[in-house]
Amino acid sequence: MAIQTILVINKSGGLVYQRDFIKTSAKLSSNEYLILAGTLQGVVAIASQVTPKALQISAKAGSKTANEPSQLIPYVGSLGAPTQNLSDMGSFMGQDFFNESFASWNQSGLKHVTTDQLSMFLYQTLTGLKFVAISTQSTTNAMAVSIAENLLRKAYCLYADYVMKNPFHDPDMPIKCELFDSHLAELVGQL
Amino acid sequence: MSHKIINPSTSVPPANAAGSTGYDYTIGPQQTLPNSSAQSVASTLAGTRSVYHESLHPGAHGAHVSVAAYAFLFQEMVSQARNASKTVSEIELRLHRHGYHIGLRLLELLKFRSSVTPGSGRSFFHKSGGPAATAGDAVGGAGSAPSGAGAGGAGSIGTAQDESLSSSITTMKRRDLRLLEVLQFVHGPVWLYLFDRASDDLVKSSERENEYMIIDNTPSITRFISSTNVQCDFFVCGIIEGVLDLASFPCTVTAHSVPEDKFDRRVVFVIRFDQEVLEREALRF
Repeated sequence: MAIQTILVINKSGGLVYQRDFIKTSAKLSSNEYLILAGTLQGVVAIASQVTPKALQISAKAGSKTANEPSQLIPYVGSLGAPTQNLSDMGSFMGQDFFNESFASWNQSGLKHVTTDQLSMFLYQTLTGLKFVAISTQSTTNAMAVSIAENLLRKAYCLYADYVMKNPFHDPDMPIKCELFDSHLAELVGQL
Repeated sequence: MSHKIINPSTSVPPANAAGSTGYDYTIGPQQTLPNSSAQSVASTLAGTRSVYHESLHPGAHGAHVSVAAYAFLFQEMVSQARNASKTVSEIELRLHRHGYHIGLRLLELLKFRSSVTPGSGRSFFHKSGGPAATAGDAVGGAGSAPSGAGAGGAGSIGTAQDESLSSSITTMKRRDLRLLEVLQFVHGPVWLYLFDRASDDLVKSSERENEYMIIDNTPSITRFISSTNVQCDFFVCGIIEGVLDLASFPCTVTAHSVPEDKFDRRVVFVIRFDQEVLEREALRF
C-alpha cells in the first residue's frame, strides 16, 4: 500500500494539513483540496444519518458495551515501527506507541472510499479531528482498512506530540511544524 | 498544651481543620497545627507522604515526571511568555528568568541531597513510617520543648523531619570552589536531576579564555517544539546561570542550535564567565 497523500481536517471541516508523498502529474490545487476536505466533512456527517433507524436505536441501547470485541480495530504490529533510535518516535517511548486493539470512534460515519485507481481511508478522533489517507491501491480488503486505521492512529500520536505540544501552533489553524512533517514522512516511509 | 498558637494562614478554627491537612479548595492550603490531635499527625506521617516529606530525601531521587505532562506545561509557559512579549529576545529573556529561579534552588537542593548518607536515610524512613506511637512521641517531644513552642507555626512535622534528616548528615558536602569543579557539577548532577542523564559534552572554547560549552545532543524539554527563530532552550540557560550565580561564578549563558549529522536538535549552551571569575581562578589557595 503506497500512501499518496495524508490530510488532516479539523473539527469544523477546514483543511489544516495536506502533504503528498508521491509526486504525480495531476495534482490538486490547494483550493481543490480545501473543497475536498469540506465535502468529506459533510459526507461523513450525512453518512451517519443514513444508518438505518433500527441500528441507530440498538447502538444507543448497547452503547455501554462499546468496547466489545466486534467494535475494536485489530492492532497491526510493527506497522511503520521505528527502526533506529526508539526514543525519538515520541513521548510514548515505546517501540510501537500502543500494542493492543483500539475502539473506533467513527461508528456510523464514512471510513473507506474505493475507486478503481485509489482508495481513501478516514480515521476520526474523539474530538472530531479527521485524518485522511489516500492510497494508490484500490482495495476493499478489511485487512487494508485496519492497516490504514493503525497507520492513521499513529499519525494522530505524532499530531499529539509534535503539533499539540508546540507552543507556536494555534489550535484549528494550518499546521506548520517541521518536526511533524519529518516524523510523518518517516512513518509513511517505513510502511 | 498551654499555648494557643495562632495560625496566620488559615481562616477557620483549628478544631475544624483537625481532619484536613492538605489543600481544601474552599479554604486553601492548610497546615497541620502542632496542637491538633496526635492521631491525625501520626496518620499523615505514616500514611500519605507529601512532597514536603520527600523532596530532600535521597529516596526521592527516583521520582520521575511524565514527558508529555511536562511538555504541556512548558508549552503553556512558552505561549504565556510569547503573549506577554513583543520581540523574540523578550520571549527568551522571560524563559531565561523562569529558569534562573529554578537554578538558584537547585544548587542548594542537590548539595543538600548529596550530603545525606543513603544508609541513614533508610532508617529515617523506618522511623516515620513505623508505628504511630513512635511518631506521636516524636511530635510530643518537639511540642513540649521550649524551642519547639517558640517556633510557633513552623509545624511539628517539619521540625521532626529536619531533625532526623540533619542527624543523618555527618558532613555537609563541600561547595565547589574551582571553575572546573562547578562546571562538572552542572554537567553531571544537575543534568542528571533535570534530564536523567549527564550532558553529552563539556568543552572549553579554544578562542576565548572565559568561554565553556555544555552540549546536549537531544534536548528533552524542547524536543516537540519545531521553531527556528525562538530558542526555547533559554529556559535551561536560565537554570545553568542560576546554579553558577549562586555558586559565585557570575556568567551569562546563551543557547545555540548547532545541528550535527545525526543529531538535528543538538544544542550548545555557551557559558561566558565574568572577568573576575578568571582572576580569582588564577589565584592559588
